[in-house]
Amino acid sequence: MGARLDEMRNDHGGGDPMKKTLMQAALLALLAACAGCTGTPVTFKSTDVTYDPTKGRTVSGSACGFQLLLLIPIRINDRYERAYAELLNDAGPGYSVTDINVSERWKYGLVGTAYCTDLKATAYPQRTAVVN
Amino acid sequence: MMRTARLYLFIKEVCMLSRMDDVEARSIVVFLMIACMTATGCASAYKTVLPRPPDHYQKLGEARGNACGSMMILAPYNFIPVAELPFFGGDLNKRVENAYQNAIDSVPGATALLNVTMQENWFWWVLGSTKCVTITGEAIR
Repeated sequence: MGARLDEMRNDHGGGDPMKKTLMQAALLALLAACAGCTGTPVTFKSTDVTYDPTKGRTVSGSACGFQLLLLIPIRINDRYERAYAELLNDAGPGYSVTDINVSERWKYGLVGTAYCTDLKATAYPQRTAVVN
Repeated sequence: MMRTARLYLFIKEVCMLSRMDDVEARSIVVFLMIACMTATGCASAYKTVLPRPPDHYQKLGEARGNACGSMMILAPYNFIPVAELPFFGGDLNKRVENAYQNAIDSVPGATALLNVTMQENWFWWVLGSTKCVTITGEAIR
């Protein structure tokens, strides 16, 4: 009876105790690594370049990430950085970006939650210095 | 919770009326509930974190503010943002707005911030996870 139980346990538990220990260690390491994270900081620089305030246009940038099972981050931590890069890309060269607005949204995805950051700003064409 | 129970009973009733057996009815109920949960989400209002600086302003020094919000795991209600509970740290959907306001409040007389830095950090506490936003910048008035 005991041997039969051992057999069943081995069938479900993966057999090799060394393998089991390694799996447990890997799981613990994963949990420890993902128990908390700090995202990449992003700095929105205030423009010190003169620009034409009459020709502003709205630009936007967005980035999402997924938090699997509430603790495994998938592209979560660099969300702000990616959204800002997209915003600057939308503005294009020769434009100053100001009036930056941030919105956060999330969506439940059964095995985790998707988090998105949306940025909206106004881009003004920079005035080029006149050289005589 | 009451709404979910009512929805379950309503769908079950409809399925029974259309002469489905109990297993079929239950499968449809589970499918519809999963579909509803998948469609759940929330978005915060836009918050200005870097306003257009006024023509004349006075720099007041560095400002710093932090705000958090949590999401719980209590399946199937793990999509409910925990609101205004001190232990869980505040409203998830207003964390940016609250962090900005806290940064403004950290410097007396400040009305706006320049060169704003935003950073998010989060931690998992088994029953849920908490997200925090830290905003730093140069306070002006």
